[in-house]
Amino acid sequence: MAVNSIYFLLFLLVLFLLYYAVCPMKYRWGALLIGSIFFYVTACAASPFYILVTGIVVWTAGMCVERCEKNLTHERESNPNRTKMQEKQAAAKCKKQKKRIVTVAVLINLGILAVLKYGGLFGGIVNRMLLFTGYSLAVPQFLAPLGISYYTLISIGYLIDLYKGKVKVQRNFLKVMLFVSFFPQITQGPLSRYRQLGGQLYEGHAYDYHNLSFGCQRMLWGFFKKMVIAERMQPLVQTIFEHYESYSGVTCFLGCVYMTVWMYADFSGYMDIVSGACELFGIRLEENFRRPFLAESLAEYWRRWHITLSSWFRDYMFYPLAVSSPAVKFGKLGRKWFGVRIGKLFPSLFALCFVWTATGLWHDASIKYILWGVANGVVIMGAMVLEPAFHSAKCALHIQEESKAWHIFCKFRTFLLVSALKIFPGAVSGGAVLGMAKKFVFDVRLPGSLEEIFPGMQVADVAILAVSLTFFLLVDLFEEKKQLRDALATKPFGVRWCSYAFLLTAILCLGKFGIDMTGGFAYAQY
Amino acid sequence: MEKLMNILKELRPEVDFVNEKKLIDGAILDSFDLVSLIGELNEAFDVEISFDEIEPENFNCAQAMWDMIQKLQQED
Repeated sequence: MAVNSIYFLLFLLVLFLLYYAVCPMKYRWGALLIGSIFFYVTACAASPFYILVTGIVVWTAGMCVERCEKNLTHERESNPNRTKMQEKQAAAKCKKQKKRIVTVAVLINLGILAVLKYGGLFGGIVNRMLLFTGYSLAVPQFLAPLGISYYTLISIGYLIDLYKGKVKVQRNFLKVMLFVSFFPQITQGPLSRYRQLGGQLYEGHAYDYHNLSFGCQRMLWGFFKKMVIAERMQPLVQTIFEHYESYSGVTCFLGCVYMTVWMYADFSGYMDIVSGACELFGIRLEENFRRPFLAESLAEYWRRWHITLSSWFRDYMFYPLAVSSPAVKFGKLGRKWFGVRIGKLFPSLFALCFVWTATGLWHDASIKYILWGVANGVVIMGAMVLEPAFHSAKCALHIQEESKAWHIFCKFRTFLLVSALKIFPGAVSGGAVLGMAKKFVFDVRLPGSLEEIFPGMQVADVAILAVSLTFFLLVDLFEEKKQLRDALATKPFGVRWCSYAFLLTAILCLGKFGIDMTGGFAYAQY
Repeated sequence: MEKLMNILKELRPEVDFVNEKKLIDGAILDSFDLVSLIGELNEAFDVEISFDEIEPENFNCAQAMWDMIQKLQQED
């Protein structure tokens, strides 16, 4: 069941009635669990067995961690005269046990992900290495279950927070399953934290017209982005990347730009639909986007794009790696070799190497995505190392960093950089990445016709796209200062309802319909 | 405290860590300094400074860092 289908709207209607009209307040989370199971079973082509295994592992690990803590408390109570040293030893033992439990649970989850999602990639690499021997491994092909990359990271986040004592254990297995499989986030996130979402899921929410109204508005805006913009741009992107040989370097680069805009409309459209759906039940999901195209550097872009993924990697991978013992040693070496200024960057550079490789790998089990992750990492790390040189250059050129023109230039530069990097995920193969890059440099011909700017598109579609994108941009610029929904809520009844009617009419008249199981959403494939 | 001062001096020799009270608020230490510093403090004092502990009040001066380390050592 795709979230941009009529079935999803019917599903939401039934769930809404079940939640508010049938279930008593205390058991309303049960309605969400039933809805999530139904959604997963109908949307996932693979077996739901794997998500069940993840839920069982997470719940069991949680119970074992709680047992360790209870044992420690029991020891403390039964022997109150222990020395400080004995107390410290008992606490260290408990911590070690908890660490072992959480490590095993994390490894099981990562193992399932590795086999189901990356088995083919790593098997292929091993077979290529074994080519000269004449032997090859039989690599089983699995159909990766829906949302495995998302629910695995969500579960790992819960386990690590539990180990660090940031959250309390959830003893109810069904409630753990609801957190792991909650339907709005299962297809493509956001990567919610238990601290933020858990309580909201389990407490019953009373019906509130404000939630219903704001939820529907946000869903409507999401449908507009997905159906009117993203669905219209998708064939354009596909045409350029699949037939790049026929186009000039400029058209190929435009393909990268279109892909960047298409992914934003598609992914943020999805987020608006599911965040709106959650608001119907009084639940606030974490925001995943904060106007990414207004970023002035690639590092800032990643703090505005897919925020929950970036913050997940920051909290559970970057920070622990950057303050780890190998990073400290690396930092000391850096200071010894390059002095204090460059040396201090070394622990962060050490962690970023792993984070960006993992980010690429998380997106897709392919070499081109790993290269894309590495390329992002190289640009961000390069900017960190070269910052003093850039600063000197700006001083020499008398560039006023506070001027409006400089800010606009930085935004534009970042957008083009993000677009250029789309060559890796966009190109159909590794050879195509090189082919397109070659065209960027050696085949610079200005487009001579509309067909070369918007291949395969009708003039009417180009016009609709131009108007829709301008509208999208204006809303983004407005929302950088103030929430549009809050501003609209202060307007008279007629203005508000005319706005909704306008948006609904635009979706129905200009939207592209006809979708597959996952709604054709770009990030659902990850 | 002497061990802490040595780590700080090695990280940023030009800063007066004895008298400076606005290391974070005054943007004297940046995020790279903090990441380097936390790794070294974890190792030197056998503590785990979590991400949540990265607050200006814990890093604005050497004394605040020392208080945080002692608190973490007692919690362990």
